[in-house]
Amino acid sequence: MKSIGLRQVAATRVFLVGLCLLMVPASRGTLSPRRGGTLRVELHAQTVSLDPREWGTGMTASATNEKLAALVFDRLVALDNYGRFQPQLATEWSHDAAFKRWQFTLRSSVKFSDGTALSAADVVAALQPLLPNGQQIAGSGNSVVIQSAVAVPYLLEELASGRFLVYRVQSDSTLMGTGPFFVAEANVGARKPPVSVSGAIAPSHLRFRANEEAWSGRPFLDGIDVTLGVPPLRQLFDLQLGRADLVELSPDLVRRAMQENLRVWSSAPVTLYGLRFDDAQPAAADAKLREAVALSLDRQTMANVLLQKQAEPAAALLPQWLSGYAFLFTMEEDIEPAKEIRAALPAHAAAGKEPLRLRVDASGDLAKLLGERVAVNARQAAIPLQVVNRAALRGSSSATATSTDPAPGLHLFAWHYSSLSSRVELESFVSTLNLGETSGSAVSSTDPEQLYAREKKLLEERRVLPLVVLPEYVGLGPKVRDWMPAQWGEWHLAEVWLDVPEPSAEQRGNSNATSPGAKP
Amino acid sequence: MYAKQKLSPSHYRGLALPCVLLAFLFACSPTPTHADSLEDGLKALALKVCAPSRKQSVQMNWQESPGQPGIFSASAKKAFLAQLSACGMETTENPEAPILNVTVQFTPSRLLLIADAGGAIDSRSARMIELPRAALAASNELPPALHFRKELLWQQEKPVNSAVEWLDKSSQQHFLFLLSEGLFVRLRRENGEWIPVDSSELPPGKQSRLGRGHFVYGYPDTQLEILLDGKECGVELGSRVSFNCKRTDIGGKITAISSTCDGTYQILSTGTGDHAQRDRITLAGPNVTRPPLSEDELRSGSVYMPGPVLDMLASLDGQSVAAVVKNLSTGNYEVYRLTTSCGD
Repeated sequence: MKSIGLRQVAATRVFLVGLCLLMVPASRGTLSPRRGGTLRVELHAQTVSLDPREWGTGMTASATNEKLAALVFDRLVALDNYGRFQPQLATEWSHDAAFKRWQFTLRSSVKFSDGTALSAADVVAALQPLLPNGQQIAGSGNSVVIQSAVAVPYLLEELASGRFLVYRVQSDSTLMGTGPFFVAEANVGARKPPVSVSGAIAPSHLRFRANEEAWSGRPFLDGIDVTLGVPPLRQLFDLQLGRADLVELSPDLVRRAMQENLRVWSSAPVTLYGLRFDDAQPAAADAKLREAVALSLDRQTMANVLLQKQAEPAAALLPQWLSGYAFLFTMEEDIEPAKEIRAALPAHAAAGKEPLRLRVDASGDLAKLLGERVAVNARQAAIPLQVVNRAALRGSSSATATSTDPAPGLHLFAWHYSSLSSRVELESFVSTLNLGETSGSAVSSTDPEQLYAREKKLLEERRVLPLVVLPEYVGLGPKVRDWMPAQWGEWHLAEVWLDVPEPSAEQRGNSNATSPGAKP
Repeated sequence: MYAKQKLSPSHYRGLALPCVLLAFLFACSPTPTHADSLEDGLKALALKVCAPSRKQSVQMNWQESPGQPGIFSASAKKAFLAQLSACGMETTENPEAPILNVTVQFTPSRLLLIADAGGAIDSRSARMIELPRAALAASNELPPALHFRKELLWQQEKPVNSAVEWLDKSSQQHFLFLLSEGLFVRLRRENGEWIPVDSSELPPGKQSRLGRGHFVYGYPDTQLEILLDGKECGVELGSRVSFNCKRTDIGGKITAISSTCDGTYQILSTGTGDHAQRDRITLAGPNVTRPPLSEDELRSGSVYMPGPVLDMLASLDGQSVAAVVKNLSTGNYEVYRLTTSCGD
């Protein structure tokens, strides 16, 4: 390399300083985030609950709740996109050799959005109602300890996902968080305290504002306006017309959005559609009939035709990205053996007197379409199957079923994966869908073969049949920058910024003065 | 056995104990190579494969995912096969022999090493070993372009805001300074390696999502300074580092490099992507206002980086630039030295 003399060094200094003056606004490398602006989000959900205590396990609605709650509340730890646990409200953690006692040191000087300090007692009060039976949390000084009756080697995965958010319940039962945003307005025309959020709410708009005191630093956005209850097609139009910056895309609109050169992001498959047999209809108890139904299912057509290749056929209960071993399961699809099994069944066992009733428990048109397709497949194997809607079978699968309701033998369900621990997720699945006793050993073992064996057994019993898994699709406006979500669906909106000119101080003041609930 | 993971908070308040800072420094050391942990995992997997089996020969089929080419190193494969052999299981090319598939699969926090013999080994057919995913350091870097060289100086998991190489004139010692999570970190070059010297807390201020502080040179004395929360902080590099801050309006960084070919100064520019995208640094020519136009120019004067460029700062002699990059493959923060060459 050519040497540079003193004169050149001096010239360099002058040049560099001059360059510095010339390039002050634009000399940073990759586009630097800009502060300001309001992100306009449209969602299909009619209602949301930001109270983690109210979220049902596996419910698809929980996905929306979790995304919005993550704006307001923090976790003890987070999992980054590289498989590393990152400190959030906890800065250090340790466990004993048996994985039964976990200690977390809390970050100091963390404040709730009203300026009051976070304490260990807050963390204990928030997490104890959320922890499963057998786990106790206690606080002391600046640390909390989770003590479990059984080994919990995957506690960090559990705490980094799902409903394990830290909140404070206020005297009026509303919740408050330490996250990057707070709810400024939760209902048009019905003001609530500006720093709090209640549980289940059904506003048409939710307005979040940047938390200036967030321990992680103020987010780049001034605010996020969320409009609820927007039909999918309307969301697409609003994105095209620049009236929204971030929308949910239903699978049937993804191809259209791509053809129109809109930015589309998809997560890993996070929702499973499947069938669950219910002994309430006696025919469903027959293992041979279940095998025939399983063999009749044409998952490829469901994924490729009904869902226009926006879904994947599912052979496993847990998706590949979560379990790591799903590829070992193969789909059993063969209509001829299905017919043979059906033909060999005695008439009374093969739903001969009455058709096998399939109730579509999952909401939405997609679930109905899948239900109809299951019926078509079953009939191809000479299995009479009748799809009944929820109104006709109101309450039939619950304890409140009336004697006049015909009991379903089959349910079509949707399951949203919410835990980053495959063990916890599978056991939640088993428990919620009443598929048998939960296995403590599968959760507490560090041997992945036990989990694999557990899932394999469930699939072999054929009381539950996976159909397809779907990702989440998001349409993004051209101004949205630093969109860096997690593959499992966390949006990370605190990192997002809008590529628009920074407002002047005066404009910023005017912006803050807009009336609550007004659409920007 | 008592397992413990200590992670430093994102920023320190008050005067932290030196031992804590030293612990931080060692936590910032480059991540271990993945060969060790993967090798151990493969050995354990081999033990699982052969323990319950009857003695037999298998055909090996190493399955690598497209996103992780070369993940099974030669030494890792050798370790696996040696362990198989030790328990009486040999590999063969005989097409009649059962196939043993070995693959690595990723979950959000773990990686699974899976040996799948399709029932050839035993009825369970699949054997698995789980490892922390963070133990793997992956890299998908493209080779650097011809006229522009990049050299990885340092990488760490904790965010790095800004970096600069510094030659101490009196001692002739070569330093690398980092601004990371509210700390000024000093590393010294010794025997070809960067050795942590110390770290000092930056003057207190408000936490930002972009981290705090960027190195600049003061004018006219070319003193090292830090732009911090709207203040210009002179850095006193004594046995301990101290700061002298005052208000300023200056808010940029210098991005120029001395060409070794003709002695002119070249402007360095990055792409216009955001932090979600890989970036490339381009020699934009001596004219500040003219960006490179042709593809040829871009090809010869560009170097791809493994993630977004967070900061760039030229050395005082203008012959190199320190660029801070967030590697999108590993999530680590990396410091590169960029230099030009004449293409020979």
